[in-house]
Amino acid sequence: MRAMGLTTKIVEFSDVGKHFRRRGRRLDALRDLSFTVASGEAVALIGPNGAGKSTALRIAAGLLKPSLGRAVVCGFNVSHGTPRARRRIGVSLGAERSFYVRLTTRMNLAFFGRLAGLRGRGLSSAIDHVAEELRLEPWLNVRAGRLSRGTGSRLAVARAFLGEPQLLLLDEPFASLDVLGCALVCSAIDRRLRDGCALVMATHRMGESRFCEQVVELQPPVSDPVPSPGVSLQSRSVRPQTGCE
Amino acid sequence: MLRDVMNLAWAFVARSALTYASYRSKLLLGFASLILSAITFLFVGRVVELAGSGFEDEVGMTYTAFALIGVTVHGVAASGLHAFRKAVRREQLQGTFEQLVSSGRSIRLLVFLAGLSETIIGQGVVLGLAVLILSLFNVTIPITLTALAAVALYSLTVSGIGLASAGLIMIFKEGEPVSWAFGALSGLLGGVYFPVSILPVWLQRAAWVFPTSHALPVVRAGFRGSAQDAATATHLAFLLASAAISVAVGFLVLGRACEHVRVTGTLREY
Repeated sequence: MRAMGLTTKIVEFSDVGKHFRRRGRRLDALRDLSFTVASGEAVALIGPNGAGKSTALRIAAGLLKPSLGRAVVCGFNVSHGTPRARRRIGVSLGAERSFYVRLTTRMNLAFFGRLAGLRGRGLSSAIDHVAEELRLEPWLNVRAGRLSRGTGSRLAVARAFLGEPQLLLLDEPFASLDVLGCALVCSAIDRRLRDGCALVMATHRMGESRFCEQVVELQPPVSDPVPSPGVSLQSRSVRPQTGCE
Repeated sequence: MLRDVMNLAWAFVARSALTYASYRSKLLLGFASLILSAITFLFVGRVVELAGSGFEDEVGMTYTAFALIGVTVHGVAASGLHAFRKAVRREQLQGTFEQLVSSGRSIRLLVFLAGLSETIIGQGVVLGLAVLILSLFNVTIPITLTALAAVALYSLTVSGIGLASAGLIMIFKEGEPVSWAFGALSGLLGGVYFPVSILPVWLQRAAWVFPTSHALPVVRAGFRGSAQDAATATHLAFLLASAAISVAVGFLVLGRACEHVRVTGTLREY
Protein backbone atom coordinates (compact mmCIF):
# COMPACT_ATOMS: atom_id res chain seq x y z
CA MET A 1 0.00 0.00 0.00
CA ARG A 2 1.20 3.45 -0.82
CA ALA A 3 0.25 6.67 0.94
CA MET A 4 -3.28 7.62 0.01
CA GLY A 5 -4.37 11.05 -1.10
CA LEU A 6 -2.90 13.58 -3.50
CA THR A 7 0.36 12.56 -5.10
CA THR A 8 2.91 15.15 -6.08
CA LYS A 9 5.24 14.80 -9.01
CA ILE A 10 8.70 14.56 -7.51
CA VAL A 11 10.73 13.84 -10.64
CA GLU A 12 9.94 14.81 -14.23
CA PHE A 13 12.43 13.88 -16.92
CA SER A 14 11.47 15.01 -20.44
CA ASP A 15 13.77 13.87 -23.26
CA VAL A 16 16.79 14.29 -21.04
CA GLY A 17 20.12 13.64 -22.70
CA LYS A 18 23.72 14.03 -21.71
CA HIS A 19 26.79 14.07 -23.87
CA PHE A 20 30.39 14.90 -23.16
CA ARG A 21 33.10 16.32 -25.37
CA ARG A 22 36.34 14.39 -25.27
CA ARG A 23 39.09 15.53 -27.63
CA GLY A 24 36.58 17.03 -30.02
CA ARG A 25 34.43 13.89 -30.11
CA ARG A 26 30.93 13.80 -28.81
CA LEU A 27 30.27 10.93 -26.44
CA ASP A 28 26.65 10.24 -25.61
CA ALA A 29 26.09 9.07 -22.07
CA LEU A 30 22.30 9.27 -22.03
CA ARG A 31 19.72 9.88 -24.71
CA ASP A 32 16.06 10.93 -24.61
CA LEU A 33 15.12 9.71 -21.18
CA SER A 34 11.59 10.51 -20.07
CA PHE A 35 9.78 9.40 -16.96
CA THR A 36 7.92 10.83 -14.00
CA VAL A 37 7.83 9.75 -10.40
CA ALA A 38 5.20 10.84 -7.92
CA SER A 39 5.45 10.77 -4.16
CA GLY A 40 5.27 7.23 -2.84
CA GLU A 41 6.25 5.76 -6.21
CA ALA A 42 9.33 3.81 -7.16
CA VAL A 43 11.07 3.69 -10.52
CA ALA A 44 13.87 1.35 -11.50
CA LEU A 45 16.32 2.35 -14.20
CA ILE A 46 17.49 -0.90 -15.70
CA GLY A 47 20.12 -1.53 -18.29
CA PRO A 48 23.57 -2.92 -18.94
CA ASN A 49 26.78 -1.15 -18.01
CA GLY A 50 27.15 2.12 -19.88
CA ALA A 51 23.43 2.54 -20.47
CA GLY A 52 23.37 5.82 -18.58
CA LYS A 53 21.66 4.78 -15.35
CA SER A 54 24.19 6.46 -13.07
CA THR A 55 24.29 9.49 -15.37
CA ALA A 56 20.51 9.83 -15.01
CA LEU A 57 20.81 9.60 -11.22
CA ARG A 58 23.60 12.19 -11.19
CA ILE A 59 21.46 14.54 -13.26
CA ALA A 60 18.56 14.08 -10.83
CA ALA A 61 20.95 14.72 -7.93
CA GLY A 62 22.08 17.98 -9.55
CA LEU A 63 25.65 16.76 -9.97
CA LEU A 64 25.47 16.90 -13.75
CA LYS A 65 23.84 19.43 -16.00
CA PRO A 66 21.73 17.82 -18.73
CA SER A 67 22.81 18.64 -22.29
CA LEU A 68 19.30 18.22 -23.66
CA GLY A 69 15.77 18.07 -22.34
CA ARG A 70 14.28 19.16 -19.06
CA ALA A 71 14.75 17.61 -15.66
CA VAL A 72 12.64 18.87 -12.77
CA VAL A 73 13.25 17.45 -9.30
CA CYS A 74 11.19 18.47 -6.27
CA GLY A 75 9.83 21.38 -8.29
CA PHE A 76 13.23 22.74 -9.29
CA ASN A 77 14.85 22.61 -12.70
CA VAL A 78 18.17 20.86 -12.11
CA SER A 79 19.80 22.76 -14.99
CA HIS A 80 19.86 25.77 -12.72
CA GLY A 81 21.79 23.81 -10.11
CA THR A 82 19.44 24.67 -7.29
CA PRO A 83 20.82 23.30 -4.03
CA ARG A 84 17.38 23.65 -2.43
CA ALA A 85 16.05 20.77 -4.51
CA ARG A 86 19.03 18.65 -3.54
CA ARG A 87 18.30 19.15 0.15
CA ARG A 88 15.14 17.10 -0.30
CA ILE A 89 17.01 14.21 -1.83
CA GLY A 90 18.74 11.29 -0.19
CA VAL A 91 21.52 10.09 -2.44
CA SER A 92 23.59 6.95 -2.49
CA LEU A 93 25.88 6.75 -5.49
CA GLY A 94 27.66 3.61 -4.40
CA ALA A 95 29.28 2.66 -1.14
CA GLU A 96 32.87 2.33 -2.23
CA ARG A 97 35.07 5.29 -1.39
CA SER A 98 32.35 7.67 -0.31
CA PHE A 99 33.07 7.80 3.43
CA TYR A 100 35.72 9.31 5.65
CA VAL A 101 37.65 6.15 6.31
CA ARG A 102 39.45 7.51 9.39
CA LEU A 103 36.15 8.33 11.08
CA THR A 104 33.81 5.84 12.67
CA THR A 105 30.43 4.88 11.24
CA ARG A 106 28.71 7.11 13.81
CA MET A 107 30.98 10.07 13.03
CA ASN A 108 30.30 9.66 9.32
CA LEU A 109 26.56 9.53 9.88
CA ALA A 110 26.78 12.53 12.23
CA PHE A 111 28.71 14.56 9.67
CA PHE A 112 26.36 13.80 6.77
CA GLY A 113 23.35 14.16 9.08
CA ARG A 114 24.45 17.70 9.93
CA LEU A 115 24.76 18.40 6.20
CA ALA A 116 21.17 17.20 5.90
CA GLY A 117 20.17 19.83 8.46
CA LEU A 118 19.94 17.64 11.56
CA ARG A 119 21.45 18.56 14.89
CA GLY A 120 21.34 17.80 18.59
CA ARG A 121 18.94 15.11 19.76
CA GLY A 122 17.26 14.94 16.36
CA LEU A 123 20.59 13.95 14.84
CA SER A 124 21.34 11.34 17.51
CA SER A 125 17.91 9.74 17.27
CA ALA A 126 18.05 9.72 13.45
CA ILE A 127 21.43 7.96 13.58
CA ASP A 128 20.18 5.44 16.14
CA HIS A 129 17.04 4.83 14.08
CA VAL A 130 18.79 4.11 10.76
CA ALA A 131 21.47 2.10 12.54
CA GLU A 132 18.81 -0.07 14.14
CA GLU A 133 16.82 -0.34 10.92
CA LEU A 134 19.82 -1.53 8.92
CA ARG A 135 21.49 -3.37 11.81
CA LEU A 136 24.54 -1.16 11.89
CA GLU A 137 24.73 -0.81 15.69
CA PRO A 138 27.69 -3.18 16.12
CA TRP A 139 29.69 -1.06 13.69
CA LEU A 140 28.81 2.40 14.94
CA ASN A 141 32.15 2.82 16.69
CA VAL A 142 34.22 1.11 14.00
CA ARG A 143 36.14 3.16 11.45
CA ALA A 144 34.38 3.25 8.08
CA GLY A 145 37.55 2.06 6.39
CA ARG A 146 37.37 -1.22 8.30
CA LEU A 147 33.82 -2.12 7.31
CA SER A 148 33.11 -5.01 4.97
CA ARG A 149 31.76 -4.12 1.54
CA GLY A 150 28.25 -5.26 2.43
CA THR A 151 28.19 -3.24 5.66
CA GLY A 152 29.50 -0.26 3.71
CA SER A 153 26.60 -0.65 1.27
CA ARG A 154 24.12 -0.60 4.15
CA LEU A 155 25.86 2.43 5.60
CA ALA A 156 25.54 4.21 2.25
CA VAL A 157 21.80 3.55 2.21
CA ALA A 158 21.51 4.60 5.88
CA ARG A 159 23.21 7.89 5.05
CA ALA A 160 20.71 8.52 2.23
CA PHE A 161 17.84 8.06 4.72
CA LEU A 162 19.05 10.81 7.08
CA GLY A 163 16.93 13.94 7.07
CA GLU A 164 13.72 12.25 5.89
CA PRO A 165 14.19 13.00 2.17
CA GLN A 166 11.28 13.36 -0.27
CA LEU A 167 13.21 11.48 -2.91
CA LEU A 168 15.73 8.66 -2.74
CA LEU A 169 18.26 8.24 -5.53
CA LEU A 170 19.98 4.91 -5.07
CA ASP A 171 22.61 3.51 -7.40
CA GLU A 172 22.83 -0.27 -7.12
CA PRO A 173 21.60 -0.29 -3.49
CA PHE A 174 21.72 -4.09 -3.29
CA ALA A 175 25.24 -4.47 -4.62
CA SER A 176 27.44 -6.53 -2.28
CA LEU A 177 24.54 -7.29 0.05
CA ASP A 178 23.80 -10.77 1.38
CA VAL A 179 20.24 -12.07 1.68
CA LEU A 180 19.70 -10.53 5.12
CA GLY A 181 21.19 -7.19 4.07
CA CYS A 182 19.03 -7.16 0.97
CA ALA A 183 15.90 -7.84 3.04
CA LEU A 184 16.79 -5.08 5.52
CA VAL A 185 17.34 -2.52 2.77
CA CYS A 186 14.16 -3.60 0.98
CA SER A 187 12.06 -3.24 4.13
CA ALA A 188 13.59 0.14 4.95
CA ILE A 189 12.93 1.44 1.43
CA ASP A 190 9.40 0.08 1.49
CA ARG A 191 8.65 1.88 4.78
CA ARG A 192 9.76 5.16 3.23
CA LEU A 193 7.70 4.58 0.10
CA ARG A 194 4.65 4.04 2.28
CA ASP A 195 5.43 7.33 4.02
CA GLY A 196 5.28 9.10 0.66
CA CYS A 197 8.94 9.19 -0.28
CA ALA A 198 9.72 8.63 -3.98
CA LEU A 199 12.47 6.36 -5.24
CA VAL A 200 14.58 6.24 -8.37
CA MET A 201 16.90 3.28 -8.34
CA ALA A 202 19.51 2.13 -10.81
CA THR A 203 20.24 -1.53 -11.25
CA HIS A 204 21.21 -3.96 -13.94
CA ARG A 205 19.31 -6.84 -12.38
CA MET A 206 15.62 -7.10 -13.14
CA GLY A 207 14.95 -9.06 -9.93
CA GLU A 208 15.97 -6.08 -7.79
CA SER A 209 13.27 -3.89 -9.30
CA ARG A 210 10.32 -5.99 -8.23
CA PHE A 211 8.91 -3.44 -5.78
CA CYS A 212 9.01 -0.64 -8.38
CA GLU A 213 5.84 0.45 -10.18
CA GLN A 214 7.80 1.51 -13.23
CA VAL A 215 10.79 -0.04 -14.88
CA VAL A 216 12.62 2.13 -17.38
CA GLU A 217 14.90 0.13 -19.62
CA LEU A 218 17.94 1.88 -20.98
CA GLN A 219 20.31 0.74 -23.68
CA PRO A 220 23.80 2.16 -24.15
CA PRO A 221 23.54 5.14 -26.49
CA VAL A 222 25.51 4.91 -29.71
CA SER A 223 27.92 7.80 -30.07
CA ASP A 224 27.33 8.63 -33.70
CA PRO A 225 25.39 11.54 -35.12
CA VAL A 226 22.77 9.27 -36.77
CA PRO A 227 20.10 8.00 -34.38
CA SER A 228 20.50 4.27 -34.18
CA PRO A 229 17.46 2.01 -34.36
CA GLY A 230 19.22 -0.14 -31.79
CA VAL A 231 18.67 2.51 -29.13
CA SER A 232 15.60 1.52 -27.27
CA LEU A 233 13.96 3.13 -24.36
CA GLN A 234 10.93 1.61 -22.84
CA SER A 235 8.88 2.31 -19.83
CA ARG A 236 6.50 -0.28 -18.55
CA SER A 237 4.33 -0.63 -15.55
CA VAL A 238 4.70 -3.60 -13.32
CA ARG A 239 2.80 -4.77 -10.33
CA PRO A 240 4.82 -3.69 -7.35
CA GLN A 241 5.88 -6.28 -4.86
CA THR A 242 7.48 -5.55 -1.58
CA GLY A 243 10.50 -7.25 -0.13
CA CYS A 244 13.35 -9.12 -1.72
CA GLU A 245 13.26 -12.70 -2.74
CA MET B 1 20.16 30.66 8.64
CA LEU B 2 23.19 31.68 10.74
CA ARG B 3 22.52 28.83 13.15
CA ASP B 4 22.38 26.43 10.23
CA VAL B 5 25.72 27.67 8.86
CA MET B 6 27.26 27.47 12.34
CA ASN B 7 26.02 23.88 12.64
CA LEU B 8 27.62 23.09 9.30
CA ALA B 9 30.84 24.86 10.25
CA TRP B 10 30.98 22.84 13.46
CA ALA B 11 30.47 19.62 11.47
CA PHE B 12 33.46 20.45 9.27
CA VAL B 13 35.72 21.59 12.12
CA ALA B 14 34.91 18.48 14.18
CA ARG B 15 35.51 16.26 11.18
CA SER B 16 38.86 17.93 10.38
CA ALA B 17 40.02 17.82 13.99
CA LEU B 18 39.09 14.15 14.39
CA THR B 19 40.78 13.24 11.13
CA TYR B 20 43.86 15.32 11.98
CA ALA B 21 44.11 13.74 15.42
CA SER B 22 43.82 10.25 13.93
CA TYR B 23 47.13 10.78 12.12
CA ARG B 24 49.34 11.01 15.21
CA SER B 25 52.69 10.71 13.44
CA LYS B 26 51.74 13.53 11.07
CA LEU B 27 50.98 15.74 14.05
CA LEU B 28 54.30 14.91 15.71
CA LEU B 29 56.34 15.37 12.52
CA GLY B 30 54.63 18.71 11.89
CA PHE B 31 55.71 19.89 15.35
CA ALA B 32 59.24 18.60 14.81
CA SER B 33 59.73 20.27 11.43
CA LEU B 34 58.52 23.65 12.74
CA ILE B 35 60.85 23.50 15.74
CA LEU B 36 63.75 22.57 13.46
CA SER B 37 63.05 25.44 11.09
CA ALA B 38 62.85 27.86 14.03
CA ILE B 39 66.22 26.64 15.33
CA THR B 40 67.65 27.07 11.82
CA PHE B 41 66.54 30.71 11.82
CA LEU B 42 68.09 31.18 15.24
CA PHE B 43 71.51 30.09 13.93
CA VAL B 44 71.14 32.03 10.67
CA GLY B 45 70.37 35.06 12.84
CA ARG B 46 73.55 34.46 14.85
CA VAL B 47 75.59 34.29 11.64
CA VAL B 48 74.08 37.57 10.49
CA GLU B 49 74.97 39.15 13.86
CA LEU B 50 78.50 37.70 13.78
CA ALA B 51 79.02 39.08 10.29
CA GLY B 52 78.41 42.51 11.81
CA SER B 53 76.04 43.41 9.03
CA GLY B 54 74.28 46.07 11.08
CA PHE B 55 70.97 44.33 10.37
CA GLU B 56 69.55 45.18 13.79
CA ASP B 57 70.53 48.86 13.46
CA GLU B 58 69.05 48.99 9.99
CA VAL B 59 65.77 47.12 10.60
CA GLY B 60 65.25 47.67 14.30
CA MET B 61 65.18 44.01 15.37
CA THR B 62 67.37 40.91 15.30
CA TYR B 63 67.34 38.77 12.18
CA THR B 64 65.88 35.86 14.16
CA ALA B 65 62.89 37.94 15.26
CA PHE B 66 62.55 39.41 11.74
CA ALA B 67 62.51 36.00 10.06
CA LEU B 68 60.33 34.31 12.69
CA ILE B 69 57.68 37.02 12.38
CA GLY B 70 57.84 36.72 8.59
CA VAL B 71 57.60 32.94 8.58
CA THR B 72 54.82 32.83 11.20
CA VAL B 73 52.58 35.46 9.60
CA HIS B 74 53.23 34.09 6.13
CA GLY B 75 52.62 30.54 7.41
CA VAL B 76 49.30 31.48 8.98
CA ALA B 77 48.11 33.05 5.75
CA ALA B 78 49.61 30.34 3.55
CA SER B 79 47.47 27.73 5.27
CA GLY B 80 44.48 29.71 3.94
CA LEU B 81 46.06 29.74 0.48
CA HIS B 82 46.35 25.98 0.26
CA ALA B 83 43.51 24.83 2.53
CA PHE B 84 40.63 25.24 0.05
CA ARG B 85 42.48 23.57 -2.80
CA LYS B 86 43.64 20.76 -0.54
CA ALA B 87 40.11 20.31 0.80
CA VAL B 88 38.69 19.86 -2.71
CA ARG B 89 41.51 17.53 -3.67
CA ARG B 90 41.18 15.44 -0.52
CA GLU B 91 37.42 15.06 -0.96
CA GLN B 92 37.95 14.00 -4.57
CA LEU B 93 40.65 11.49 -3.61
CA GLN B 94 38.48 10.07 -0.83
CA GLY B 95 35.52 9.85 -3.19
CA THR B 96 33.37 11.96 -0.88
CA PHE B 97 33.15 15.11 -3.01
CA GLU B 98 30.07 14.03 -4.97
CA GLN B 99 28.39 12.95 -1.76
CA LEU B 100 29.09 16.35 -0.21
CA VAL B 101 27.75 18.21 -3.22
CA SER B 102 24.65 16.04 -3.39
CA SER B 103 23.85 17.06 0.19
CA GLY B 104 22.01 20.05 -1.14
CA ARG B 105 24.35 22.72 0.12
CA SER B 106 25.94 25.25 -2.15
CA ILE B 107 29.28 23.93 -3.44
CA ARG B 108 30.82 27.31 -2.63
CA LEU B 109 29.69 27.06 0.98
CA LEU B 110 30.93 23.48 1.24
CA VAL B 111 34.35 24.26 -0.21
CA PHE B 112 34.57 27.38 1.95
CA LEU B 113 33.72 25.48 5.14
CA ALA B 114 35.92 22.51 4.27
CA GLY B 115 38.85 24.87 3.65
CA LEU B 116 38.03 27.02 6.65
CA SER B 117 38.09 24.02 8.97
CA GLU B 118 41.46 23.01 7.52
CA THR B 119 42.66 26.60 8.01
CA ILE B 120 41.46 26.75 11.60
CA ILE B 121 43.19 23.48 12.40
CA GLY B 122 46.30 24.45 10.41
CA GLN B 123 46.50 27.97 11.83
CA GLY B 124 45.80 26.75 15.34
CA VAL B 125 48.77 24.41 15.11
CA VAL B 126 51.04 27.07 13.54
CA LEU B 127 50.05 29.73 16.05
CA GLY B 128 50.34 27.39 19.02
CA LEU B 129 53.78 26.33 17.91
CA ALA B 130 54.84 29.89 17.20
CA VAL B 131 53.88 30.96 20.72
CA LEU B 132 55.72 27.96 22.15
CA ILE B 133 58.87 28.56 20.11
CA LEU B 134 58.94 32.31 20.69
CA SER B 135 58.58 31.79 24.43
CA LEU B 136 61.42 29.24 24.32
CA PHE B 137 63.66 31.90 22.80
CA ASN B 138 62.35 34.59 25.14
CA VAL B 139 60.95 36.50 22.19
CA THR B 140 57.72 38.31 22.97
CA ILE B 141 55.60 39.97 20.34
CA PRO B 142 53.62 42.94 21.57
CA ILE B 143 50.33 42.27 19.81
CA THR B 144 48.72 45.48 18.66
CA LEU B 145 45.28 45.96 17.19
CA THR B 146 46.74 47.17 13.92
CA ALA B 147 48.96 44.10 13.71
CA LEU B 148 45.96 41.83 14.33
CA ALA B 149 43.95 43.71 11.70
CA ALA B 150 46.82 43.37 9.22
CA VAL B 151 47.10 39.61 9.82
CA ALA B 152 43.31 39.18 9.53
CA LEU B 153 43.09 41.16 6.29
CA TYR B 154 46.14 39.42 4.89
CA SER B 155 44.61 36.03 5.73
CA LEU B 156 41.36 37.07 4.04
CA THR B 157 43.21 38.18 0.91
CA VAL B 158 45.14 34.95 0.72
CA SER B 159 41.97 32.94 1.44
CA GLY B 160 40.29 34.63 -1.54
CA ILE B 161 43.19 33.51 -3.72
CA GLY B 162 42.83 30.07 -2.11
CA LEU B 163 39.14 29.92 -3.07
CA ALA B 164 40.00 30.75 -6.69
CA SER B 165 42.72 28.13 -6.53
CA ALA B 166 40.16 25.56 -5.28
CA GLY B 167 37.97 26.36 -8.27
CA LEU B 168 40.88 26.03 -10.68
CA ILE B 169 42.00 22.70 -9.21
CA MET B 170 38.57 21.31 -10.13
CA ILE B 171 39.34 22.18 -13.73
CA PHE B 172 43.11 21.59 -13.98
CA LYS B 173 43.21 18.69 -11.45
CA GLU B 174 47.01 18.98 -11.15
CA GLY B 175 49.38 21.89 -11.62
CA GLU B 176 47.04 24.66 -10.49
CA PRO B 177 49.01 27.85 -11.28
CA VAL B 178 47.50 30.55 -9.01
CA SER B 179 48.53 29.27 -5.59
CA TRP B 180 51.89 28.18 -6.98
CA ALA B 181 52.60 31.67 -8.34
CA PHE B 182 51.44 33.42 -5.20
CA GLY B 183 53.25 31.07 -2.83
CA ALA B 184 56.53 31.17 -4.73
CA LEU B 185 56.57 34.90 -5.46
CA SER B 186 55.38 36.14 -2.08
CA GLY B 187 58.28 34.27 -0.45
CA LEU B 188 60.69 36.08 -2.76
CA LEU B 189 59.04 39.49 -2.92
CA GLY B 190 56.97 39.70 0.26
CA GLY B 191 59.73 40.46 2.74
CA VAL B 192 59.37 37.18 4.60
CA TYR B 193 63.07 36.32 4.92
CA PHE B 194 64.68 39.69 4.15
CA PRO B 195 63.56 43.30 3.94
CA VAL B 196 62.02 44.35 0.64
CA SER B 197 64.32 47.37 0.69
CA ILE B 198 67.34 45.24 -0.30
CA LEU B 199 65.67 44.23 -3.58
CA PRO B 200 66.45 46.12 -6.81
CA VAL B 201 64.11 49.06 -7.35
CA TRP B 202 62.13 47.36 -10.14
CA LEU B 203 61.54 44.31 -7.94
CA GLN B 204 60.50 46.55 -5.05
CA ARG B 205 57.79 47.95 -7.34
CA ALA B 206 56.64 44.41 -8.15
CA ALA B 207 56.69 43.57 -4.43
CA TRP B 208 54.25 46.39 -3.75
CA VAL B 209 51.36 44.40 -5.30
CA PHE B 210 51.87 41.51 -2.89
CA PRO B 211 49.76 41.74 0.27
CA THR B 212 52.60 40.05 2.16
CA SER B 213 54.77 43.13 1.77
CA HIS B 214 51.96 45.24 3.30
CA ALA B 215 51.07 42.93 6.20
CA LEU B 216 54.56 42.19 7.49
CA PRO B 217 55.72 45.82 7.94
CA VAL B 218 52.64 46.51 10.11
CA VAL B 219 53.29 43.45 12.32
CA ARG B 220 57.02 44.26 12.59
CA ALA B 221 56.25 47.88 13.43
CA GLY B 222 54.07 46.61 16.27
CA PHE B 223 56.98 44.44 17.44
CA ARG B 224 59.33 47.41 17.43
CA GLY B 225 56.73 49.50 19.24
CA SER B 226 56.83 52.08 16.45
CA ALA B 227 54.15 54.71 16.41
CA GLN B 228 51.36 54.24 13.85
CA ASP B 229 52.02 56.49 10.90
CA ALA B 230 50.69 57.22 7.43
CA ALA B 231 52.55 54.19 6.06
CA THR B 232 50.63 51.88 8.41
CA ALA B 233 47.32 53.41 7.29
CA THR B 234 48.33 52.96 3.64
CA HIS B 235 49.26 49.34 4.24
CA LEU B 236 45.95 48.65 6.01
CA ALA B 237 43.94 50.38 3.27
CA PHE B 238 45.73 48.28 0.65
CA LEU B 239 45.03 45.10 2.61
CA LEU B 240 41.35 46.02 3.06
CA ALA B 241 40.89 46.63 -0.67
CA SER B 242 42.82 43.51 -1.65
CA ALA B 243 40.81 41.37 0.80
CA ALA B 244 37.48 42.62 -0.61
CA ILE B 245 38.54 42.09 -4.23
CA SER B 246 40.23 38.78 -3.59
CA VAL B 247 37.33 37.18 -1.71
CA ALA B 248 34.79 38.37 -4.32
CA VAL B 249 36.93 37.08 -7.20
CA GLY B 250 37.64 33.86 -5.31
CA PHE B 251 33.94 33.05 -4.90
CA LEU B 252 33.26 34.04 -8.52
CA VAL B 253 35.97 31.73 -9.89
CA LEU B 254 34.83 28.92 -7.60
CA GLY B 255 31.21 29.31 -8.75
CA ARG B 256 32.22 29.28 -12.43
CA ALA B 257 34.41 26.23 -11.89
CA CYS B 258 31.53 24.37 -10.19
CA GLU B 259 29.30 25.11 -13.16
CA HIS B 260 32.05 23.97 -15.54
CA VAL B 261 32.45 20.58 -13.84
CA ARG B 262 28.70 20.05 -13.79
CA VAL B 263 28.72 20.40 -17.56
CA THR B 264 31.86 18.37 -18.25
CA GLY B 265 31.01 15.72 -15.67
CA THR B 266 34.43 15.93 -14.05
CA LEU B 267 33.32 16.70 -10.50
CA ARG B 268 34.83 13.51 -9.12
CA GLU B 269 37.85 13.37 -11.41
CA TYR B 270 41.24 14.20 -9.98
